[in-house]
Amino acid sequence: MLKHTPMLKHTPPRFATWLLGRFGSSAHGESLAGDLIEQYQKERSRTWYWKQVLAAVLIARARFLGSLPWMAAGRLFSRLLAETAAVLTVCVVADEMRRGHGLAQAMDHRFIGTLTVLMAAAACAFAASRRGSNRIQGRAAVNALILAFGVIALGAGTLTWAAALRQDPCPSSGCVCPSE
Amino acid sequence: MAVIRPAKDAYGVLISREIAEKSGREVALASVYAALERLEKKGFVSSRLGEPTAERGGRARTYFKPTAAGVKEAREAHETLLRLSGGLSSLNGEPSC
Repeated sequence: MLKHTPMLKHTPPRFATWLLGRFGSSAHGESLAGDLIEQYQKERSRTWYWKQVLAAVLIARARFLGSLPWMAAGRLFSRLLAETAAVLTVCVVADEMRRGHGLAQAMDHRFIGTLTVLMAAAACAFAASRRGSNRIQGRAAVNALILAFGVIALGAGTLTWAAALRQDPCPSSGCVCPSE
Repeated sequence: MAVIRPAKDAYGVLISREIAEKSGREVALASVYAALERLEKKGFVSSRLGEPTAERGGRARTYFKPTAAGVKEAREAHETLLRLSGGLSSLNGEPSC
């Protein structure tokens, strides 16, 4: 995309043009953008412009996904999993803080276990998402270390969690235990 | 065929207009470019970049023209279509039985 856009009689929707440049790229992306602007100057409406941009983005994304080999798709999925686990970790901590428990109070087996499992899942998925990536080829040792840490932490976390659940069958305050 | 039809300098807008006029159906410019890119990869069309113009926000046109292989392929596809449709009475408005 050109950094400087000459003065136009009718400026097309800026956000749509940005979307097109950012997500609708193809071999002839510049010409497509130029064609849309040319048509917009002559006779077309904003709605038409938006429709064309959305179609371009959808087509570009579909072609991009279609061109991915399955390994790359797997890496993409692992990355998604890692990010989800990382976000969940933050959510668990935030939820605990929201309930008014200090971190010191919250540090029971169950909480630590949950955090460990989530962080380990994030680390494993992140390591998997980086495997085979061009950027870290040649760093197999680092990769293996991250993976080993993930596996060990995942195992330890799961065991801790299971132990905590066995010891405390009614962990939540709203639970009515049969013995009470 | 929409690339072959314009006398010269076929570019995205002209090609999509050609398709809209002949088929009565408007197509997204992006899908025209996607098809052109596939044809270009197969060697059926070639492209060249024009000069950037102010009315296009400083962006250049890409002009497409069919290669010899593209024209041959289009001719064969056309002949195949004619052969397939030849003798089909229902396409000529005649009852099929």
